[in-house]
Amino acid sequence: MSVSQAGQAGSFNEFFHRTNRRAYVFALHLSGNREDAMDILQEAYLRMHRRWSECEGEAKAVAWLYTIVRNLALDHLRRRARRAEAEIQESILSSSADGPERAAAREELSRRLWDAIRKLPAEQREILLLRDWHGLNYSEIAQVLGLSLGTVSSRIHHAREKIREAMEDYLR
Amino acid sequence: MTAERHEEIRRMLSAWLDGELTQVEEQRVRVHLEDCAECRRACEDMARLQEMTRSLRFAGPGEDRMKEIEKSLMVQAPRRLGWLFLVGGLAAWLVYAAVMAARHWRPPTVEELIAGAVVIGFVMLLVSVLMERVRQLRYDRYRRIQK
Repeated sequence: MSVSQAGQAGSFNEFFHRTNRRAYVFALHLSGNREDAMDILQEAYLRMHRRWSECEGEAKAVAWLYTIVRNLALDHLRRRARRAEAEIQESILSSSADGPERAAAREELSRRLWDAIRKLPAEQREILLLRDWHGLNYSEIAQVLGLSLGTVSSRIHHAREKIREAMEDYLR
Repeated sequence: MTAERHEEIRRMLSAWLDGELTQVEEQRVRVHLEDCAECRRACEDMARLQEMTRSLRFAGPGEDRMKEIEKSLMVQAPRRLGWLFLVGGLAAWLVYAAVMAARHWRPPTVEELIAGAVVIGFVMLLVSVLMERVRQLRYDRYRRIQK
């Protein structure tokens, strides 16, 4: 289930369980640090919990959560000198369902892809991951990042073109 | 087909893959893809990369820390209710005490003065906490976020 679908009916507790893993990864991608990501996550859910009753239906809850996580991560980054890329690299996993050879190949491909994504300008990387990994639609992304739909569409397109160029050898 | 038209369609490919185009735009892209092998290939590559990105797996948060967060969330509801009862009860008690004092006025005893001092101190501490919360709320960057 995508995160977008997570914000359907249910209590805050259910919402927390459905969204926390993806929200954590989003916080980790932004902050680059596991401890910071956990702090951000805790603070984000606490803020949401305090005002959960004001949430008009849960459909917009995911975009709300991501907006809070993003703003908190930016606050953390302002306080820190730089992101810790190594911790994100370490957190990429291969699928345990594959055999050893296939798993190694998949892991290699994942690392190559992640390298290509990592080299994107920050604003393109963030938007690409929000769309393709977190599963947010364009209007949710526009809300989270405070951008117009046209800008969201254009950035996603440019990001994908760059990834395609970087992964050319693996696609043929 | 003009180069401009080709470029225009090319820019729409991502949005087409994401199902974010209008019906008319979708139709235009579909027609173009039938004739243009280059764009078809670009589209297939993007779809494949999208799938690969989707299947990237990242380590999740530690279970212990997640349980800790969950516990801290669980205490929020009773805490809010506690504040409501405390402030409401205190306000009702003060009003009642003021009415009773006005009706049956007499000089307070030493015990009543001591109890009054404790209550006044407690109320002042409570008010300072509430003022702090209100001050924080004024600078809360997230309060205007559309929910």
